[in-house]
Amino acid sequence: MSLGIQLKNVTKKIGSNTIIDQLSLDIHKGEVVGLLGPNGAGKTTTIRMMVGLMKMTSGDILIDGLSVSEKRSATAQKLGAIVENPDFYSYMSGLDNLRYFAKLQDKKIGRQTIDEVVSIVGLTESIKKKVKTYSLGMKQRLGLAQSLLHRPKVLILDEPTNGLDPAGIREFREYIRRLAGEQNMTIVVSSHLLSEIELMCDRVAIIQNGRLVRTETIKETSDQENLVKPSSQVVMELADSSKAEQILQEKLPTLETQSRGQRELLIQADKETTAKVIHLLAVQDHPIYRVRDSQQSLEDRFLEITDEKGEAYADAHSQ
Amino acid sequence: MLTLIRNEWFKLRKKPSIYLMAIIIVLLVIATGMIGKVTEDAHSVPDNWKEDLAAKSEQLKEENQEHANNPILTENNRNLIAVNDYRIEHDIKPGSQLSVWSYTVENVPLISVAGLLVMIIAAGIVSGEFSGGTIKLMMIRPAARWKVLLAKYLTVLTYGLLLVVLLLLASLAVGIILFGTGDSMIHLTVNNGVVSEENVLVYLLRYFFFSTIDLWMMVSLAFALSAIFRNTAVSLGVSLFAYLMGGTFTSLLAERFDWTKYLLFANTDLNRYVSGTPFVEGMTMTFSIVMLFLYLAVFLGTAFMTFTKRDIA
Repeated sequence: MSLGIQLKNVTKKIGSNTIIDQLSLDIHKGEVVGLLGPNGAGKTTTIRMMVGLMKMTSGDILIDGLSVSEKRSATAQKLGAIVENPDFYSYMSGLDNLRYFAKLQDKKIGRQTIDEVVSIVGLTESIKKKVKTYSLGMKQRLGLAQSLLHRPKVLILDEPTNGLDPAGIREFREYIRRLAGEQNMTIVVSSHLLSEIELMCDRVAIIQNGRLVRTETIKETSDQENLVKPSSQVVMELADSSKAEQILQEKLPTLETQSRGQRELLIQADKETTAKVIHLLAVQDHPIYRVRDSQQSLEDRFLEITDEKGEAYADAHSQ
Repeated sequence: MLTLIRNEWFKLRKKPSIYLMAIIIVLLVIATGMIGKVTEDAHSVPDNWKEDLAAKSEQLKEENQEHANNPILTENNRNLIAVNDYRIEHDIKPGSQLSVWSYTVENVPLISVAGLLVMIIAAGIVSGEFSGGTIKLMMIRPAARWKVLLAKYLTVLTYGLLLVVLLLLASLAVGIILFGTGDSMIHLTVNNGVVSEENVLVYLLRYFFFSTIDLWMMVSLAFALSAIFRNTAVSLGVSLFAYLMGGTFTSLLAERFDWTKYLLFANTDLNRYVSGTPFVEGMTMTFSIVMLFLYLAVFLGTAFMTFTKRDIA
């Protein structure tokens, strides 16, 4: 079994409201998956069901092959998680909090392990201070620490970078990548910081209105999109965009072009065609200042997808 | 399970308020001791105590004739007369001064103060985890929900027990220092006009223990409400109100309605069955104990049901 997490037709109803609707998703071991979705889409509900805080109405979630609804205690041993805000006992020190949560685990966790985890998350200096003196970023680090204490196989992190400074975010991201790579940990991260998700995750799952609307592999879209999708958009910066457009229309009548202002020309082309275009303009002595891939960011795609589906959903319901 | 209870204590120990509560209890005991010492003269017994008691009995008899239609008063007076007669007959002088025993008995009302303090802990021990958000990190761990709740309940009970024992020990210590052990170890218990002798220590411990029963019930209620409503203010407010008003309310009802005997507060004072009269004619100690366990089962049953079933949002 190489699946770390498996969601099988998970449905959650509260009263007559369907919060999560037949959600299915397979997450492989060693994979980092980002959970995206607009507010109220059901991300947190999904996470709460994965960690056993909420019961599902139907369907099941398997953690490392074990059912959450049947063997919650066993799945809890395999899980580490931050759910929403990193809330701790503020009247106790960070260390006491960790000692407390370590004792709640079935296996024995020694002081050495705690110290190790504390140094990984970079809290060694302030670990003996009371949590009420911590900043949000420090609490977030403590949150990560408590989730790692028992060396879980599956890590579920809800908004983990919230409150971290840029250096902390980078550290966190690198650490997450390392956990997935070296320890083959299965990691689910939900976040609103799309650029962050893009850098951290192998794959994103976009949830909207309680349904999985799309999963997208990040690496694929970054490295291979141009080969896979011939209709990629390329932006050219030229001396005279309308003149260049004329030249191109003559030689390559099938090419889709669109001039934007006096100096920019957008073309729909794969890599080969792009090379041809550059050659054509160059031999005509038309100055080309810059050619770049107008790659859509994850943010653009996310907004596009959720917008589309949102409208489709609204339409379906208004009829 | 033991680990879970120890873990609850680990958290409780870090709260300054639990030490403050213990200090309050000790200070109150010292205060009542001081007051007792200052007003000690009021307890002095005259040399011709037999005549004195006989005169008092005569007075009580007259009072009974005047108020023949008041069963509670006449019953009470008859018991007092029986004790006086017993003392005269068996030559048992009333305690000539305040002793550690009578002083400790006088401190029994302080159990209510301990009760209030334990209720504060009980009302917050579950709902505090919800309002602090820590319930999430707690319940994503392997321990089953019912075990966590049981550990919390037992933690509250042990804390309550500690406070009550502290009250008892502090009273005994202050009592011995200020008043000494006294000259008589005999306590006269009267039930239905029949007087019996009892060792004062046995009497004291039983009286003390029976007096904590409504504390346990109210602490359990506060705890159950805390688990059900997940709100400290609501659970403390409701259970405090019940604690302060329940007894009075039940007495008022008891005069008119027979079904009052099924109410919780008609059953919490087991001392009535040893000396005194039951709330409603025909109630027995067994009946009350059964009723107490039924109420406890309802409180805790509801708490465990909701806590284990409901989603943690």
